[in-house]
Amino acid sequence: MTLIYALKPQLEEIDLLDTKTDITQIFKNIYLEVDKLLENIPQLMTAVPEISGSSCEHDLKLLEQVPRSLCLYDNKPVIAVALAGPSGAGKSTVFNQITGLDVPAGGAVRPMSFASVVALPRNTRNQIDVADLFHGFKVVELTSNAELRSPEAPINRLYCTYYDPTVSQSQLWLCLVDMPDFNTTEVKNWQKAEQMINRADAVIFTVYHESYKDQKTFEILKRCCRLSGNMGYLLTKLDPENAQQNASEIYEDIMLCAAKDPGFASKRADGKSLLEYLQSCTFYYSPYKSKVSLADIMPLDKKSPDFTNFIYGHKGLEIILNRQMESIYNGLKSCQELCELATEKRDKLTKSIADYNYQLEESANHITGTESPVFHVLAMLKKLLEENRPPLLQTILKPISMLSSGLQKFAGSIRASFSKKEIEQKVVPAAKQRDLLERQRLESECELLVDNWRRKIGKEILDQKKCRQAIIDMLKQELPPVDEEWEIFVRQSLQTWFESNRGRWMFMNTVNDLLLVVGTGLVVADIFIDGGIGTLGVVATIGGSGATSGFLLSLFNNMGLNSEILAAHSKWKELRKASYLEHLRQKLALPLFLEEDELRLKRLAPELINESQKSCEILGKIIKQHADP
Amino acid sequence: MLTPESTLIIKKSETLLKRCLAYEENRHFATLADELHEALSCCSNLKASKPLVISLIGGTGAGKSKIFSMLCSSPEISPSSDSIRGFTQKLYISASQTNVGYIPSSENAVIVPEVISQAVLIDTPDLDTINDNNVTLSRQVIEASDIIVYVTTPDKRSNFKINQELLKWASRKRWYFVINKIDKVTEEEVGKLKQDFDRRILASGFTPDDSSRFLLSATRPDSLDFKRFADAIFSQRSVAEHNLIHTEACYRHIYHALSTSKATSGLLEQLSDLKETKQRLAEVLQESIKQVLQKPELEEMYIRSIENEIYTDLCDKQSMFLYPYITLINRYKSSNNVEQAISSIMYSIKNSSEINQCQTDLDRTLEDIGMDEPGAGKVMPLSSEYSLQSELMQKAKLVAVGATRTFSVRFYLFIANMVPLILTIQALYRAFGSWLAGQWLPADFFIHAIILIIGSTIPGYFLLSRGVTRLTSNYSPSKIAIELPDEILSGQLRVIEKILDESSLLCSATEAEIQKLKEKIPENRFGAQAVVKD
Repeated sequence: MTLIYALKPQLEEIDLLDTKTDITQIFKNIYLEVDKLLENIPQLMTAVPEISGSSCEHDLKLLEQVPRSLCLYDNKPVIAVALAGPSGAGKSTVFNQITGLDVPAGGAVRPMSFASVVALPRNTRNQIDVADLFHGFKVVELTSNAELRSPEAPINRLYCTYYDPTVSQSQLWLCLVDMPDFNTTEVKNWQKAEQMINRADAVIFTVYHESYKDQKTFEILKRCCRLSGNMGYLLTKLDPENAQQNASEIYEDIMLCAAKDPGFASKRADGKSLLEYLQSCTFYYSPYKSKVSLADIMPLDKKSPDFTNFIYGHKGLEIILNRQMESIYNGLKSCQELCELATEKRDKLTKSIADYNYQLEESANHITGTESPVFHVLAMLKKLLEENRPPLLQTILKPISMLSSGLQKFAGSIRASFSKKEIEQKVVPAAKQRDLLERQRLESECELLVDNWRRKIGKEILDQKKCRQAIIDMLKQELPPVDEEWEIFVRQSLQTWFESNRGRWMFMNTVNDLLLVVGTGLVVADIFIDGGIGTLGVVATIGGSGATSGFLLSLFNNMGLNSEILAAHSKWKELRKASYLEHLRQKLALPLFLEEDELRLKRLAPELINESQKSCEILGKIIKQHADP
Repeated sequence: MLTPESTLIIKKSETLLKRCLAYEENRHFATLADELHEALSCCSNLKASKPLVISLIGGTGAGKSKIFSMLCSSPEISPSSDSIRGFTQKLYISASQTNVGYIPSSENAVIVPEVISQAVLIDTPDLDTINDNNVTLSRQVIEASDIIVYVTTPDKRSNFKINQELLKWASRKRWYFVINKIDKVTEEEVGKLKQDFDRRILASGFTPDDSSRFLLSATRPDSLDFKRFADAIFSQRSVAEHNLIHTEACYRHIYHALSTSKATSGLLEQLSDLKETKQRLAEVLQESIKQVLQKPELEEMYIRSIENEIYTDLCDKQSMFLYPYITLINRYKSSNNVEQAISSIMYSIKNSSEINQCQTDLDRTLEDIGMDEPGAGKVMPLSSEYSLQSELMQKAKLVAVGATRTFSVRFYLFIANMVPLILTIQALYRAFGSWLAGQWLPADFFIHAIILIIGSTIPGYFLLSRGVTRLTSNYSPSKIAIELPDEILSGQLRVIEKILDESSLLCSATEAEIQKLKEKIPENRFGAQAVVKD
């Protein structure tokens, strides 16, 4: 077993490649960069869905199929030569002629072959790993010819069989591949054929006179010209009477059509244009016969080697190298294209996500509103007062606080007897009233946001049902709680105030419970007026309505707390806005659509693109060196 | 020429097209409209009484030109080559000078003498070549053709692109299927070839038949096979039959547009989706209205207003001793009247956030289906608002007016008046009795009597007011049965249902017409027709 993974010593022993460049290093570098690219490409591809189905995606697959090793046996390379062509061209017939095998051929049923089959020289059996030679294929040994006729064969199935070479193979081991057609109603066959074209080192492009000018045939010819390491053109089924004349006429016609086709002007990695490459290919023809033999296949140019010599005379390693260069060159171009697309897409996505975030911020701003969170400050103030009350004062004030709590209970019982149960439920503590207000605003902002998104993203994607469900889910969530950071901030600022205004603090402590008594009184009176509102004592009562909150604000003003309140307000606005922004983002925008966008953006990380572009550059340089040594 | 049947079908299709065009924003309607438009434009043949068009269609190297030349009986009339493909780059038309004008892109065509009387025979360039002009030219001819001769060769018969073209037009044209170059195949293979070809024909929706499928060789025009083919092409066809084939083509185009359209299934899906949305919105709406009506403050207001109404009514009745109370109540009653109570209920309904949400959902649904023309849909249209309003009003009036007539209120009134009445009679009896006895009772007596009489009305008043409260408390507005509103989306549903109905009716009518024509246009003379699928 002599399977060499691009190892230097062995390669140096074989002096088949007539070049001064250090080939091992070339291969090593190539494999390294290709592997790097292959790591990044799938992620980029999923983020650029536009690419699917394009020629760019097609060519990117080439990189995957670059073999990662050189397959040598007895110091001779194994070369995959494929017969490619439209249905009815006689690929299988030629295959049988060369290998002496008997795969299904003929015209009773079209198409005949449904899977690629590779024939290796019998002496290489168990000596080389076929699966390694055909990277990405699932190799199965052919047991019966009928298997090739089954349309059920999976796309990457490759049947393998062995033949007894009739010609001594001096330079290489010929590994001949017969593949399905690419133009019949069996669409699955197309993929099978193209996959093999992507891999084969050399191609014998086989056509017959009826189909050489079909659109699909020309397309595949172009692809073979672009990729193959060596190519021959075989024209079959010509009129036996003036086969040569017809062949040369067709040759002229093909060259003329290729010259007219702008696609043939593009360059190969070796610097030739596709047209030039096609012109340099050897052209063979064969007349129509019921039993074709290899001897009937003639070169159009008498100076060219005969068909058998052509097949066995490939220049081993050079072809493999050329072939890989073409794969990488084409894969590279697509990769660069992909990177450009990805960059473009990333910029677009970044911009649209920023737009969405701006909209969300605006909405969060609206929800937060401009009202001062005075009752929250008061609640905290009350808490602070209670925490910091001196024990002496507590004893003194005990009767008053008892009175106030007694009054509160009384008020509660009166309310219970006067109001109906439903009303009781609707009585919301003052601090909650603000939540209600914010919730209302949140509801309307949600609708506005969703309408905006529908306009921008499209009503097909964000249809009514989806939007409603998202809003319902969103509104089910609790409102974001009051920010802890804000509480700490207010607590600190109040504490500073206490310390610098000890006298006022004492006063506050004293009046607090008195205020409560008065407040509860107000509540009781209130019940008789309109059924009652709050139960949190005067502090909450005042927080509940605008007029009273104004009164309290002026009270604070008089206490010298003005600046603290203002600071608390601006801090509140800032933090509340931030928490609503997060709330809207997390609970509405992300589940509805933003998550997908952000994921895509994440996949399009700039490092990834840069790295790929860098690998492309390195590979480009290698190819350039190869093209003009 | 138009027959009454075809006129009717074309007219119906045009109506359907117009209907679809009115809702172009809906993508399914737009698709249907596009397809119908294309079909109808093909029907214009009918009005102009065009000649019968037979064309030879196929891939490169199939031998179309050869067959054409052989049919014209002059071997080189449409030149061809053994080697070079795509040799024919123009149309070769065999037609009389008047008939040429009906063929599209005939300016650059080569015109040869008419070989089939009153018909046009066309040789077309290849359908699958790299020359795009050839492909376009061939496609134009296919569209204008009535009968298509599909030419292929043993090697090319499975070509994908040509097959696609066949499938695309299969149900809209008449066909002959020809495998040319049969001389290149050995005798034993011909049988297999025929079998394989028949399988393909069957898969394309035709019944393979010797009268429309030919295996021949254009290089052997004297062979039996070629003669059979030529006979089929040259068979006698009257002008009336030409018209029939045009009529049939028109039907087939319309049938194709309606039966294969993805729009129909899309619309059906949309219809069931809309019905579901309608049901959901209606339920939510019903529930939200109910919730508004159950609001305690609104309920209270409504009941109070009914009570007020009852007292107003009682004021006009013979309330006797209770008259002062009722007058006082009427004078000092709260300002709640029924109209106000109802209008504040309506206001709450209109401003309820749930109902607004329903409206938003409805607007979005209409936008989704592209039927959001202004004023397209309201969850609470004015009519249902009015009906709810009048329902509430009627109920209130009914309760108020009915209350004074009920037995219980009359009974309460009777009882309430009974005690003071007895007292009054008693007092009067005493006063009268003593007056007869010549004895005048002291003023004390009268003062006490009046106080007692007035006092005795108080329990009566309480009895009555309790009675009224009991009566009204049964009539909460939430007890009004709210029907599931039917108006939501109903207009849109009607439109879709109507178009679907019309389309399926038209489809089956066209199918029936095609079946009727079937016998009149035999396949051996006019080519095979695709089986009309259900």
